[in-house]
Amino acid sequence: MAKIIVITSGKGGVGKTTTSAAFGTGLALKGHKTVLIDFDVGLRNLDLIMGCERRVVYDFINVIQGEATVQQALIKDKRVENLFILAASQTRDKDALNQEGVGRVLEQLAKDFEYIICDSPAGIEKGAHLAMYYADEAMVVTNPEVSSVRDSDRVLGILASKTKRAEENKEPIKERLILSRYSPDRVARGEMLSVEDVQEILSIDLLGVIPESQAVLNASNSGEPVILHEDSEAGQAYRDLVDRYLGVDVPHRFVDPKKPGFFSRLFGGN
Amino acid sequence: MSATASLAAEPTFVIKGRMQTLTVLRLNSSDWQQLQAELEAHLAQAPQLLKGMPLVIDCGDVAEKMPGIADLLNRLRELGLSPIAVQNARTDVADQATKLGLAVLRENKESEKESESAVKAVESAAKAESQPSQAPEQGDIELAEPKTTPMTITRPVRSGQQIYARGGDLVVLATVSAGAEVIADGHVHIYGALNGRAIAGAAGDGDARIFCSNFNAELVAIAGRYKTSDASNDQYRDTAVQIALDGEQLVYKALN
Repeated sequence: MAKIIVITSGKGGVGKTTTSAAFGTGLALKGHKTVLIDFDVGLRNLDLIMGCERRVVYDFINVIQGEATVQQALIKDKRVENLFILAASQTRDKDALNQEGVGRVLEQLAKDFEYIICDSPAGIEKGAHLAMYYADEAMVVTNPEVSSVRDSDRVLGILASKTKRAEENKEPIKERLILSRYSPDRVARGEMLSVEDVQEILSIDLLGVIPESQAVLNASNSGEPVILHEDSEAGQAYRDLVDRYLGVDVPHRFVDPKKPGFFSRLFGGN
Repeated sequence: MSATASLAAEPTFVIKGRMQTLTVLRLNSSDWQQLQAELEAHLAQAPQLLKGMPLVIDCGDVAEKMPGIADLLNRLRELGLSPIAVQNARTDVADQATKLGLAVLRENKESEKESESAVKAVESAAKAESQPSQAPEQGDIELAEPKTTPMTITRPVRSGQQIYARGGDLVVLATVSAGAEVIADGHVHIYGALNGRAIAGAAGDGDARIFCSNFNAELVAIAGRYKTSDASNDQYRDTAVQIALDGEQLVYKALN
């Protein structure tokens, strides 16, 4: 049975789509058949970050409304085996989504895939609600600042009360924290919340810490999931995160400030 | 399949008798429009708590000259209430109610009068003692009932969530986040950090207290007397504390 995982946050711009793309690609690289669904109808981005925006013919809404089959709408990734994308519609809005239709599409995908990654829109309105409604697991993406943490807390509350699992009194959704755009140096200077601060407020398992990195912007500009940039810290952090998700015990990296190296001390560079 | 096997072994249902406290809406006028307006204002005081509340419509003194009930039902449902039954209704109104899916309760005028006076006595006592600002008004009725079992919450109470232990104590074994609200008609116990709001004695019980192991609240209130974090005594921040009502004043005491 497929696992449905929602990537959510409440707040916008924290790295949901970047994480969805990286995490989904990472699972596929490990040989798991994975599909990424963009729930941000009207503001679709996932296809850009995955670099498949020119290959979108049919989208999620077309499938929900019966204008295309799932097979017609799925876009196969050209770089990674086992990876598929279901794009959002740019011309519609969130009202085109409905609970019953989303359920039907997910049920169909569950027959073919091991992992279904739902990239949630920001906010707590209809699109975000439907992205999490059928989830088995949730990854809450948070930046180390108070407003993002507060919004994540709110989303965790909704995950615990307004989802299918909650309504049917089943085992609650497994919630994990991804702390993104983390800058250990700024934490050390007291300008950002630390990993410990955020964990204390949200009290859920920490799956990964993704360092603030120029590579993320470069990757999304070039339409490549950052996890494919193996030389970048963010790419490595996402690889660790995927390993950790699959049960490998990997220590958290990139959480402590960098010690100045021998050469930079010698030449005073940075 | 094992599912069918277990179905055969076990009956498909169990019938249980259970006592439930129900809220009664006693009609004093058959002007539905005015009734809706006044009810709406009343509900606005505690919209979350009263949402979906099951309701018995008591036709009371207007039973004889009552117009159709369909319009009244629509108005009540519009307000988010769930009418489930009528009582003291004229036969034709009762028939109409049955057709609309409501139950018709047997008339019980004697005991009704009794409990009404009991409620009134409690109500006036509660009013003399305090005027709860946060408490739902209909909570007064609960005071006449025996206290119910406490409510225990083991998962964190998140920002935007509201937990109400009606008629009893509330025990929270996890963190109450900033922007969350925990409310009880009795005591409130919090064994995690309290970063949100805690309201004890919501129905007006001034003897209710708040206990928490790590006090960092945005607001605390007992029987309508409240303090926000700005006004709260800063020396108790991040400590274990109990809060009680002494006259008009909320008093803090370290818990050791």
